[in-house]
Amino acid sequence: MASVRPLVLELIRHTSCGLPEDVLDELARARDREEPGSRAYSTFERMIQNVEAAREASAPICQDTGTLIFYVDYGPDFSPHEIERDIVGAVRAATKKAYLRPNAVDAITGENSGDNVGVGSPYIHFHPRRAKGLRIRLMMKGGGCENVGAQYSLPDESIGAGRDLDGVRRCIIDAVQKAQGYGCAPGTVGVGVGGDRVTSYMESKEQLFRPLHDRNPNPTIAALEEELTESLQGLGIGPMGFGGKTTILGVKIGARHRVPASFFVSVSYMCWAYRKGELEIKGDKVYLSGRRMVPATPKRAPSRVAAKAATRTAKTVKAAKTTAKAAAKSAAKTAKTAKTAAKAAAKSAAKSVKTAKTAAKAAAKSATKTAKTAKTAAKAAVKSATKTAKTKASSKVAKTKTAAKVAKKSAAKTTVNTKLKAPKIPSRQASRRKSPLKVL
Amino acid sequence: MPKKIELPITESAIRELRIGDEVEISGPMVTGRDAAHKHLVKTFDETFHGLAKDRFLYHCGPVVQRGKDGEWRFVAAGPTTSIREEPYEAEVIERYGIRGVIGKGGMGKRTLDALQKFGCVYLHAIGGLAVVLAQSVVKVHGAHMLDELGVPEAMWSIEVKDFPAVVTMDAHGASLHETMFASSREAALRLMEQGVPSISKSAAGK
Repeated sequence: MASVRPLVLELIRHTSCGLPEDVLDELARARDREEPGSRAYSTFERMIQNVEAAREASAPICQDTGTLIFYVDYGPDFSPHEIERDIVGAVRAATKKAYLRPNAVDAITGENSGDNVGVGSPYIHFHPRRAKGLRIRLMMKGGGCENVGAQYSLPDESIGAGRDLDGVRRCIIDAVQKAQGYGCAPGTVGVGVGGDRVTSYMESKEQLFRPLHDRNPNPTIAALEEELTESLQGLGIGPMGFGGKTTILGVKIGARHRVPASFFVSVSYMCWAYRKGELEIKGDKVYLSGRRMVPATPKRAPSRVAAKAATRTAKTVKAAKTTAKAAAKSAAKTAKTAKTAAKAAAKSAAKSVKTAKTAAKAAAKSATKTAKTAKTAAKAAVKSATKTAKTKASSKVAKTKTAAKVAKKSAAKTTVNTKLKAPKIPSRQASRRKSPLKVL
Repeated sequence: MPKKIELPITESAIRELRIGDEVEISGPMVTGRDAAHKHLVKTFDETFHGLAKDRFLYHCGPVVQRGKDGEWRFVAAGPTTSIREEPYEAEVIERYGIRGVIGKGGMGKRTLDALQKFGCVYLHAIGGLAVVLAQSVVKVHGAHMLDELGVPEAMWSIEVKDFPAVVTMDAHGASLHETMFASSREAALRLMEQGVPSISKSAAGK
């Protein structure tokens, strides 16, 4: 497998410069619960507006691009050493491209490393798995919300929390109330119950990777999550602590076995700028946050440049027509290599008109040189044909287009494309959609 | 609907503002954060006085870009947490005649008293609104002490248009942060007492 660095760079851009659809939907729902014209309504409106502006500019939605937390699940066909190298490389590149703010400073001196790489930064968790393929999840968590996280050791007399589910519930309520708007409310609350101090907090962060609208497989915990997601709104903290009907977007709880002597409840608060993303490689397919990444078309193929020159020389409509016809025919028939397609194009062109001859030859030559796909050669021929033979050859053009499509398809099968285009960052359009859930 | 505020502003206009008021600010203001505050209480900075008097001070460490024409531009400019300036803010307000402090998260008792005494307000900008807020900075006049303090800490003299914020501490001693904390605490304690609803308490309590 080739380096995954460019794919991780896209993952970072996607995560930093937009919000996932579930979060956008939930922010829109929160806005719609408020009175239009109210302080809370306009605050939500501006948040959604900011996401859209960031998406358009490929700029970070928040200047605090946060701690970079990577979770990597890798199959036997991937090496963790190479993945680590690619992630670190992508982080450096993303900082250069300003998708990330230089955010790693020396713990004692405060000196900035300048590229987000430092001791323990970025933070990568590796999990080997049996199944082939690779999954990289990324969370970007800003400092404001990280600072309002809390860990409780039960029993906790100050809030009457015993070592039971009621005690867990009290901890969550206490943490959300104390967080006020400081963690950029409305946030999503990840909770880790049990474990030791480290794994308890880790569980709370891992919970934040869950989609907002899923259901916990543990029915007891699921019931608590649902109850708290509704009742915590009653605290009235609202967006940024300005007051309002939405205080949190969701509560996600996970439990781990603990030693009998310890009972930790850890609460991680994720701000409304809830940046999480997922990259998945399955066979030869690549998905970014659940959407397939499609091959990016090369911007300037040499054969296309030559074909453009051919357009200029092939002055007569007739010549162009025949060239296109031949190209389409040969492409559709064989569609195996660019060489044959281009050669045929050159041949037929030479036959019909002398002026087109040299140009087509050039096209054939450059096509042979690269000889990677039939796609570009056929496409270029079609393009030149459609341009000049606009009036007379309209019906033929349709035919050549289909031929080009066939050629494209067969070409895609044989090519291993490492340059992929990411799907669009979720847009505000998504937030305008009617929510699938009832409004509280 | 938001109230329009034009800078510079008078003390009497500031005293008309109350907590919870939504505002849109236009006009010249200045940024300043940790290093600037330390500097401002150590000496009397005449240049800063000119930039800040009857205007607003914004707690912000911007991400800036310099164009080929030499013009500065704000790229990302969300508010930073204000409470770090609590030891200095009261004195800065008094010395330099600032009429408004913009930041995030609210400030403490000393600042609240200074707001009341000298006729000033604390305005809360929306955290995480980096792009929209940067776009409302329509002009960057320059940076005071850029060489000494660096980009994020320098005092940037800027011109804003319709910069959105909410008054959360006013010149009458009221703080939305205090009232919100108190009311939500009460609600939280009530909620705790309700207990785990319709779930067997023994399930996780072994």
